[in-house]
Amino acid sequence: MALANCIKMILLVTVLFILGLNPLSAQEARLKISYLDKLAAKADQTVDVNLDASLLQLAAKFLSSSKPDEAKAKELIGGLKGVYVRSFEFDSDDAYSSEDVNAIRTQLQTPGWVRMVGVRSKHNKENIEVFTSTQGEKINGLTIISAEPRELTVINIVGTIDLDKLSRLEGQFGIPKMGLEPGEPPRKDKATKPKE
Amino acid sequence: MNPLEERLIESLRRKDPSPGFEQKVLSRIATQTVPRAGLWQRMLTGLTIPRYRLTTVGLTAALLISVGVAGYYQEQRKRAEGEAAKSQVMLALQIASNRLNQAQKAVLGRGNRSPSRD
Repeated sequence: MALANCIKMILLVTVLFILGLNPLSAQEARLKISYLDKLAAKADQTVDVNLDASLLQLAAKFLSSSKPDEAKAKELIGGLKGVYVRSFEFDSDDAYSSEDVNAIRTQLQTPGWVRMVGVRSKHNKENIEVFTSTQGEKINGLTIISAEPRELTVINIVGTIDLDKLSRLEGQFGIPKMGLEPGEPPRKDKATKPKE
Repeated sequence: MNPLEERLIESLRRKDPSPGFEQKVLSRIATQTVPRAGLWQRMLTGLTIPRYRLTTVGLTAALLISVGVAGYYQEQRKRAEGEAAKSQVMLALQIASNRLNQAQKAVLGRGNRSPSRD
């Protein structure tokens, strides 16, 4: 009897241990990116998005199911628990330091996060990294770091997300394209002026 | 029976009305015109309710109006928050989708140039 109890206890501890080692929970998939806010003072344009679960639920109520773009967004945010974006566009090069980016990368070195894509272009000095955290077969966290000489963007999405659906969203919104694809001519605004 | 009682009985004895009395009464009533109360008079008549009741009605009305106004502003605030959240969601997803495609294109471009390296 005592042996059976002992075995049960060992099994329970093992299960708890395995669960503890499992990929990140939704809460852990959230990164601390607020310290990047200091860059806002140097930036020409800033995008700052902080949407927790309650705000996402509220937004979902205002997204129309009859409008295709909003319906897709509504479907996509159904499983999300947080969306956090910091995007800065600068007037000049080197307005942010590599330490700013490395501080994000350090948080992504914890178990559970995997670097899915890493693209570094010496020609354009563009650096894009896509990190995912998975739970089973589902992606429960996504982080994108896009670092360019005059632009830094960090996106942290917490919750179950379908990358195919997300990638298909671009250009379907009423928001005009940002014109940031590699090879595209830079925009005319002063934030992305070509180098002199 | 004393004389007073006798006089009272005599005075209060039932008498039949004179002929045509009923007709006279009815015709006089018909000729009299009752002045109709005006609008203001009727409205003022409605206000002649006890003061405590008037106070109660006033307080209830004020309470209902306050609740209504507060509810309206709360609804407006919630709507504004919802619209702002919706805009943020659309913007965030747009940026995320853009960057994801940027990464995909870069990977595909690199793969097309030198497939053996990747």
